Amino acid sequence: MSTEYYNRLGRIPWAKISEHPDHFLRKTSRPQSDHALQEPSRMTEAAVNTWLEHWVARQGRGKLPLMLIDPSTDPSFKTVPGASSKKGKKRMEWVEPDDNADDGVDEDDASNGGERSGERSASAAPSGTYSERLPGGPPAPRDHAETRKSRREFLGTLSEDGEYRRLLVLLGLAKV
Amino acid sequence: MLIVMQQGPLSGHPPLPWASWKSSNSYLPPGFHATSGKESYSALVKWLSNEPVTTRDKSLASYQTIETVALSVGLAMRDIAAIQFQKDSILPPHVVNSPLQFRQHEALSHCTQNILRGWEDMYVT
Repeated sequence: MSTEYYNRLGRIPWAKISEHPDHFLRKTSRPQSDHALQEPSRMTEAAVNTWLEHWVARQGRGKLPLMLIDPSTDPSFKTVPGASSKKGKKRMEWVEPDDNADDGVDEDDASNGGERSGERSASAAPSGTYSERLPGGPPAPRDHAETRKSRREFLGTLSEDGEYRRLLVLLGLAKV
Repeated sequence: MLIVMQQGPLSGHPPLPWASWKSSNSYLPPGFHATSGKESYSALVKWLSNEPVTTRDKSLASYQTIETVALSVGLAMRDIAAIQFQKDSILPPHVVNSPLQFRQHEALSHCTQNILRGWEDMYVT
């Protein structure tokens, strides 16, 4: 469970939101759909519309469209995997919802607390420990350094970014 | 001054220390994820601003140089993407706690676009 989500300047842990939306969003803020909330550029149009339509519908009923779970007020969030590795970095800053009237008293949130608690107790292990070579981690440059071809193949795995791919094209034009 | 004279394949601007084919790291070191320093993201952006794919006589740099530029950009993009899309449980703590965000990925892409300008009309389609 990351706390960075609550920092106005922090990153949004999309992978964790996608995996455990119940850790981040109140049940009523989530549509009854198989579409996971992900980094928007990775969502299909249908998925984006599903989420947006749900929030708009809530708004139309006078409800807060999106309510985040505040770990600072939830006793079950006291133990946050990975938090011990932050070494004093003050990254957590809870962003209050725009209206407290709707927070925590929504139609089906009463049962939501138990659901979340149960899943959190079985949540994933904390972050791994850094080492030069992480088990299951991505390959290192050295693994592919032997030949020009293997280096080129390795470079091709690093990013799908369009500008980066164009940079790789230059390799075919440069003098060896 | 010494660095400038020791040009080697990278025309006066040595790459960041981690941009090496000798590296056996799965992820970039904590120095890259620091807010400043010679190994940091900021240092990478500054290095790229020197247009390392272009030589002083405005010709295309050597294969080795471009390969190193690609390694630098690619490894940086891979780390930043991992911050966003990988589970924390398989990332080292300094990557989990990195201040880098996806907008830095976009900025890096923009830097790459800048260093390609001038070459794209001739070579890159």
